[in-house]
Amino acid sequence: MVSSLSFGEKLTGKANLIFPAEKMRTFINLCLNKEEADRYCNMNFTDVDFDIIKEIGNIVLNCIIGEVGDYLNINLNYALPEVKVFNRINFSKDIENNGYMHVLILYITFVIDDTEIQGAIVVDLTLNSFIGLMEKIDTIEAELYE
Amino acid sequence: MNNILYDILNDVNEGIVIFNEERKISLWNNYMEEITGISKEKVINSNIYTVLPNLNVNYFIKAADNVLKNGCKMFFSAAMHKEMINNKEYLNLKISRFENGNTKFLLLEFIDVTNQFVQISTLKNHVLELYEINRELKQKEKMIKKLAYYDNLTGAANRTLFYEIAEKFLHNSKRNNNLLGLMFIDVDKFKSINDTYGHEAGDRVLAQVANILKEATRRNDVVARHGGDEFLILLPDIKNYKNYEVVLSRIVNNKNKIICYDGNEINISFSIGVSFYPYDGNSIDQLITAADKGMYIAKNRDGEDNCFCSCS
Repeated sequence: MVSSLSFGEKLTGKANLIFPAEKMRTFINLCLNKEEADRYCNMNFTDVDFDIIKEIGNIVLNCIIGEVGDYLNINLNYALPEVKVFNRINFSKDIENNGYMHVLILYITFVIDDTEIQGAIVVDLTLNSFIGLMEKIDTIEAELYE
Repeated sequence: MNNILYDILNDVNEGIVIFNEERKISLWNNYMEEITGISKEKVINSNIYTVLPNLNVNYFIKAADNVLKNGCKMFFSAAMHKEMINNKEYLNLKISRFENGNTKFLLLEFIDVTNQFVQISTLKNHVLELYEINRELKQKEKMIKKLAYYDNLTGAANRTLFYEIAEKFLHNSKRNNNLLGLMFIDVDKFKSINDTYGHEAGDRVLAQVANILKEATRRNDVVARHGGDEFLILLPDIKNYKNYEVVLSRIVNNKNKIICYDGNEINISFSIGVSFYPYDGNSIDQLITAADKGMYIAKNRDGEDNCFCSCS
């Protein structure tokens, strides 16, 4: 399951919070304070579940992209996250097809009430944005040595 | 143009609230009036947290401050934030910022998702009902299968199941050139047991016989009730025809061949005939006929637990 937040203006790209479906189910149940999963529709996600993921993706991805924007002093235009469910093959096709040439991958573990939930954050950047980002980093680096 | 936009915001089918950096409300649309019961005249220029006290919580204040500062958008789901406005509707909330000159405003959009919650709850109940119906059907199917293939009194396979399995075993034996053994077992003096102690005692004897035969056989052997007091045992994959004697010995030496009924001890003994593919026939019916004949030869001998096998 993927929660994606697009951002634009000086830096254009998309940040994705990715979880395997079963981990997402655990995450949703923890957020709803629901101890046991439904035995008959465990891996069927409803719009209400998607809204929860949208909220989680919103918080996490805003933090990460916001921090990058702050640190590099770049203004960003944020969208609200979209939530999608992919099977493995479709997801890799989505990554290949969307034209983003550079991808940053972060593996993350959330710990909620002693339960560990592993996922990943993938930040897709267009080539121009990546070059822009590198230039900005170079400028900051140069300023450090002045 | 401003008036048109204002009218549109007033009419949209979601709750719209706009407030400025000082948290003073500048727009409160019709939908908000409807769900809160508070008129716009009462709230304009009032503090948002005074008007909607449920939003006066740390995480919301921080989120609003963050949106105001960074221009990011925030989303609050109805499932995780119940009663943001009241306890009647389920509302998702979107917060975003817009600017007019040097002044920043925050836009709150309350989107009613109550119908989703109701539909999901209804669907879950349907799924639960279907799950229960499916479970009951599976149980009934299991029961019907049991009734169709197993003898109700003894729990042994009935003739239908016996023939289905026997044909497969015979086919395998023909293909692999293996022996297939068949034992025909008759309970000695069963009529006398029924006449002396009654049918209930007879039924208990038959159930006990089935247990004795099951205990004596290997996992792949098949014990079936042929009818009345007659039982059949299929012995697939026998390496040597003499090996049936192991099963025979376990039947004859079983310690539970005496049952107590109504203060009486009823002794169980058998007459057994044995036949083998390929020596006694090429079909199941031929093997049953041969074993049946062997059983009658055994029955006519003196003593108890006699057995006849044409190959011995």
